[in-house]
Amino acid sequence: MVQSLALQIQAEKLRCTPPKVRTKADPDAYMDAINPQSGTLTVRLGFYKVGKMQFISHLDLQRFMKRAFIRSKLPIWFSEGFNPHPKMVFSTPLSIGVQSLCEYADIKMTAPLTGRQIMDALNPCMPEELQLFCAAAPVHKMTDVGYASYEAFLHHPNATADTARQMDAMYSAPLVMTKHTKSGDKDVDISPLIKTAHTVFDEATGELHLRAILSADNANFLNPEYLIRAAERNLGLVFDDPASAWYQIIRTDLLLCDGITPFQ
Amino acid sequence: MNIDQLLKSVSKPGRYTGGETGQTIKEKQNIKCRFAFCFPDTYEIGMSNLGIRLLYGALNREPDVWCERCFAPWTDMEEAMRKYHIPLWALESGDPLTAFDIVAFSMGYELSYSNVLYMLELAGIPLTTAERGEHDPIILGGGCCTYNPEPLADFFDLFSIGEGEEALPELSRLYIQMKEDGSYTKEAFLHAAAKRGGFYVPSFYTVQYHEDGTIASVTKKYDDIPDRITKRIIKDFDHSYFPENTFMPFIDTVQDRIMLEVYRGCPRGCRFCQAGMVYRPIREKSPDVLARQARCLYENTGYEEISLSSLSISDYTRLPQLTESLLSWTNDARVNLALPSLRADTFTKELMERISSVRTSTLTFAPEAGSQRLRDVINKNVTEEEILRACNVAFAAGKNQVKLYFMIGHPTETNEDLAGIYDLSEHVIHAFYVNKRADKQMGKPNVGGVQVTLSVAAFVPKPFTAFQWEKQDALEVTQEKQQYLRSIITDRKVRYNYHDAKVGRIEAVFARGNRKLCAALIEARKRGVRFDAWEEFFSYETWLDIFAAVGVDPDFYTTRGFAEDEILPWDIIDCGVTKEFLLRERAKAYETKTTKNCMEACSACGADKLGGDETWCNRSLCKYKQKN
Repeated sequence: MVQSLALQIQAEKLRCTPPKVRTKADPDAYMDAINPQSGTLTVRLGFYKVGKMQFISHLDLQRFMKRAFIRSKLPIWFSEGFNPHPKMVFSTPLSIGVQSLCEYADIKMTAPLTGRQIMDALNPCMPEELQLFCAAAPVHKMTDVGYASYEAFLHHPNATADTARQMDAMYSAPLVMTKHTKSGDKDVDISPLIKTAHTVFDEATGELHLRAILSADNANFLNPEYLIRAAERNLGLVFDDPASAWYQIIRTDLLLCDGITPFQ
Repeated sequence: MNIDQLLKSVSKPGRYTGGETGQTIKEKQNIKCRFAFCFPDTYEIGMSNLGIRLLYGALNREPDVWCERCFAPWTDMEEAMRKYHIPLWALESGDPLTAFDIVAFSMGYELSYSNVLYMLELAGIPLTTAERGEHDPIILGGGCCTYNPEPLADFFDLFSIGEGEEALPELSRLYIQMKEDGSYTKEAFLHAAAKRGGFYVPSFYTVQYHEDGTIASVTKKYDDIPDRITKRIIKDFDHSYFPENTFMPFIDTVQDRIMLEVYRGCPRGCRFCQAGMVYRPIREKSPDVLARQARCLYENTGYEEISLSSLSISDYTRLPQLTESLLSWTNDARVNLALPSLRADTFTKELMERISSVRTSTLTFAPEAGSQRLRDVINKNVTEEEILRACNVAFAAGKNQVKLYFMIGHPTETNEDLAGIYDLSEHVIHAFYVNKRADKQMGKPNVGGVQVTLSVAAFVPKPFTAFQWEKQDALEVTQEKQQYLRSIITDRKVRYNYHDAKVGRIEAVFARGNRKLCAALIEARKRGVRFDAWEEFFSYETWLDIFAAVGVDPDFYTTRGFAEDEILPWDIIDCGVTKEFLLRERAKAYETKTTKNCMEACSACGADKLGGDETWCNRSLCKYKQKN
């Protein structure tokens, strides 16, 4: 699998740990496992979505990617029918306003290609803040994703080292939050969905730096925003002022159900 | 300041980020003229505008000019900007508008005027030319509303009249040249621009009024500037600049597709239509050029739809060649062809078959008036037979929805004409069922019921039309007509939509307005008026209060018929078609006489003097000139 230098640079910019290194599949080897029945080949695209791109919704991203595929002239497979479109399957949902160094989407191609060919064709068609870091045959099923790791930076004039300790205690004890679901608001204890959550206070920048691994499987997806909401409610630190009290969340990795093995 | 946090707190943050594919980024140190292209409406509306794409590309072809975009921030962003003292910025660089040399606004709708002042205020730029100094940006106006620039005269340093693809790069070159040779002062620059023609500097012209409020005379500040500003046109449309790459929005916008401008102008002469007059003379692009541009745009964008844009696409003389050439690859590339401006009289089975790949099941035609008499008055030149034939073509191809556009309030209109709107829709429905019976006999699948949607606008007299002197119906009269129409429509297969008459009235005030309206716009800004074009923000009562506060009588511009010998506010502009022609057309309207379209006979509108493609604007067809 091609590990991209651009990904390292983005991670450094965001002061985050980059996604764990995946297997070292040869970027120049042809992916040629074409399904004889459909005549297609599934390729997994790994990409980051940072900076301005955090404000692009899932639907907008799909529309953008479709057009980028056409510009790239790659042999993308289109669905048959009234409204032909490339079939894209995305891994874990990502909220608007959350950046990510580790997103995956599966796409179907009609001819064998190497990972490097795909990246070289697609990356020039996409903005700097939305770039592929790998293209390879899928190893796991999309549904194998169990956890996602996040880092968050929280600015608040009243934040101290004590706040960091309070946050650690808060995330390890039962924590009931109101979840907004389609069937109405529900009170849920989110603590079982938090695998780890640890915060340090950085004296130099006055920031709280939160690292967390949260449940991300289909049935138990925890939106990282709940961690911020909990801090706002329980610790009285409200992050709603672009001048002094703000936060940013970055998804840094996708992991399997053991919470350790990187998804690929 | 953490801008990301700010963006998280507003709706549709993608409106404000910039960074789209196809945007132009330049190194600031190489730039001698920074140009901000502002659109006084939201990002979604502005990004759908073909003019911005054209002019953005044309300006950015100049290596030392950098044109950026700016749209009106939505009200939640306005609140945040005021709270945190963030001045309005351009999307590409993120720099405030005050850092720019030229700040241009494109105005396509009178109700966007309040947003121009809203944006200037958010940018921290003084609203009027009188308040602005030597170091404030130059405020430039353009767009089809500026054929009557007078209601905006106090706010703009200059207006670019007519088509801007050549004029705006020239203006930036003039700016750079004068800055470099040291001759630049704002006054000297505006004077030099005014002398060139095509640029109107309102502060160089003083308007005197009669006691009754009409214009007595106009005097100029310099002898060497024109009495009337002649609009600029692109003479050779085939070789004019066309952007073969373009910015593509991330978020959903109104028009998110390839817009291929097939020709400019319109051969028809509908007497209420401003676009049909001010874009004359007609200039076509050849099918080869269009096919090449379409292919190029497709490869650079990946768009899934090409819209053939023009005022009346079925009047394009080489439509079969164009569609054939496009269809040779678009179907395989899964690209949809859209023909949005079809005329009933030239809509044929062949054309229908070419666009049968369109996904929508609705076809739209614009009879504009319900009776043949009134269609003759407005010179629509479409008969009921032609409309029914066009609908039949659509029905035979399996469509079951027809949308019909009408306008009420035309001169000489009676209730009989209004009833004609409903009669026509009933005839369309009848035609559908005749078709359906035939289909059933032939064993074709059942397409279900039919739906006719009537979209009924209210007449607004516009500058440079044969109806520019006409009164607009009083508000109560328009509302009565709308209710009358509602009362006679009983068939549930007819859906009736009509526009708010109050909106049309305010539109009319500004469409035919003079400089006295500048005070109203300033008062509107003081009262926080913006987004008038949006139903949720438009307030007729607020506008009446504003007019009362500044001593403007809206009836003066709306229900008053303008005298034929009156000096009109827009007489300062020469858009090609002459007043004599418009007067002839007005007289013929009252005689219920039609005028042939440009393809059949020349009616000597006068626009040919601007130059342009001879094959279309055929002077030999002109009976008036032959006499001379």
